[in-house]
Amino acid sequence: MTRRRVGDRAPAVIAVLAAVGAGFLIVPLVALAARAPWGSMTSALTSPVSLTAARLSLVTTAFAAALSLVFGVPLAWLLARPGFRGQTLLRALVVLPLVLPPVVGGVALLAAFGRRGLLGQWLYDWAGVQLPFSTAGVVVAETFVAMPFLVLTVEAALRGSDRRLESVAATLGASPFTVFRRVSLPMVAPAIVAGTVLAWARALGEFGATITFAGNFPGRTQTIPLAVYSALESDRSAAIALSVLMMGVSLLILVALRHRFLGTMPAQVQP
Amino acid sequence: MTTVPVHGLTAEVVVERGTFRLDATLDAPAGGVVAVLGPNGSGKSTLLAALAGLLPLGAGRIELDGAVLDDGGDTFVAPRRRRIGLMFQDYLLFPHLSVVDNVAFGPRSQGRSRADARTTATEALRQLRIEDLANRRPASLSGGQAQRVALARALAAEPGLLLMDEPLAALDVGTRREVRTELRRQLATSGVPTVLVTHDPVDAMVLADQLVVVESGRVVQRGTPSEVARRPASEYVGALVGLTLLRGDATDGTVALASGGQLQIAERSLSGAVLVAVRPESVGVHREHPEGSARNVWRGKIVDVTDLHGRIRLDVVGPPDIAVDVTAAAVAELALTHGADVWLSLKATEPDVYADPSGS
Repeated sequence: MTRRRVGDRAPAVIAVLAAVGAGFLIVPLVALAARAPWGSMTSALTSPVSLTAARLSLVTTAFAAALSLVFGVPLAWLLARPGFRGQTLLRALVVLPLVLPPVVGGVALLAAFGRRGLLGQWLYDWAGVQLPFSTAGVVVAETFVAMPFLVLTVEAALRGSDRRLESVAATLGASPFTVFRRVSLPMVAPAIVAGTVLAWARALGEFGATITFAGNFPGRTQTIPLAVYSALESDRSAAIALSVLMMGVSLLILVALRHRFLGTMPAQVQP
Repeated sequence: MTTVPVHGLTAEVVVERGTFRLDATLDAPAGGVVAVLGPNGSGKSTLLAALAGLLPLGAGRIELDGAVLDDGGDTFVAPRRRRIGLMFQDYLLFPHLSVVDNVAFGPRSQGRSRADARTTATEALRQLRIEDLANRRPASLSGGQAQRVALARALAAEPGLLLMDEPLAALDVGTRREVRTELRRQLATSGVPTVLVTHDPVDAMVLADQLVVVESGRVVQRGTPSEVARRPASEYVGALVGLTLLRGDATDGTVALASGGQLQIAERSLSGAVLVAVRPESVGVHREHPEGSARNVWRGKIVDVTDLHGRIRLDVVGPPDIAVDVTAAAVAELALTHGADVWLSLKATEPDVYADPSGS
């Protein structure tokens, strides 16, 4: 044992409370792993219901992550610019889905894109498109809750990057779009990757907005979280197997983004 | 106004930022290097930002090779169309691009093909004798190397004017001396008119053939480095070049100093507001009232003693207050310590006396 300095020892009250807190967070995960039907894991995961849900989740979250990327990065760029009128309000509205109860998000999406919704009626009348209770609706719900993660992550990185590099690029003759593409974007590439992964993970776990806006139809709108919810009633071991799968995916994401979350972020190298 | 085509830069820059106002005119002829010298906060960087187009003029006019870039009104050419290269003091290479891609950025942005841009970049690197750095990442370069790459990148864009913000400030002392000499050669070979801002008089003297001194947003002096060094127009420049500068009114060979006291000078023809530049080594220090030919003799008290490596600088309160340089031997022999009362002497022929350009 190495000798500890006096100040390193935590007071008893703090140690006890911290232990309870940690236990509270850890025990359910351990319990889930302990309850997992490890022997029949393969068959539970390859059941038609699981496979269909997994495939649907993969496809919809991929689209949600891509949409978040395509629209979220420009949005982050705009929010990171020197202030324009209404910028603070815009940022507040953009990140609101982070704290909004997902089910409220689903109701809001119905109000916007439902058949009688603000935009939904036009979509239906003019294009015959009906988003609610469709696979596309799942993508919309997932994008709604996921995109703010990417926007916030990329915006923070853009704010932290040296804007003078963009000035240099401009004096070298680069057009604003070239500056964006060849200087601004590459400078925040790690944040874009992290933001996309975060958004994807959020989309993968999406439940409330999806079930409200898109319903729970196997093969059409039933993603993994919805399948877990349904399986709890019918096939408990399948529910647990899918939950363990999701926990595994979350662990992988944590490992992939460990620099961001586990406090081992290397010092930023300034050019 | 003349209609003769003008090559290089002519600029009258007026920019207001809050309570700060910059109002300066500046010319940089083709092939010329102009150093803008001034203390921190004097408006040097603002001047560069306005020339580069990163900051619009409040009023005035910027012309490069006869084309108006900004007239403080309707005409405003965007930075990317100005053909003005800008080098920041920390060089700001693109961290995600290799050295050659950094240098190729300009030609590439101007629409040249990738291969063509690379050829230009390689040539620019070769001219600065750093072609062996081509595939390195900016993070792996030393300060001196980064400076050269930044210069190559600016030149590869074929600018009509080069702007440098404190080009040597990021370097350590040893590298600085070496890069300074090298940079002078490079600027001379490139032939691109250059405006560099610095607060280091040595950089300014070595690199530039014209000096513009800016203080509090105004030009207080302009001239060749030797003119400015010999006849500083402000206390700031005087201190920079190691001269004591005294202001006063001259009448018939006597200058009544603004700070009190008076000095006899050799030039009897000068009258009105003048500046008296005194070299610290030209002042004599004595413990007793000196006998001799010096026309100016006055009493003073030593308030500061500084070792300047090889000589000792005494700050003496008069009036007039003056800086005196003596040898370490003299300090020991005359016991020239802090607080000592001394006699000072100065020959009338010693100081350089000239009309105060800012005087009435």
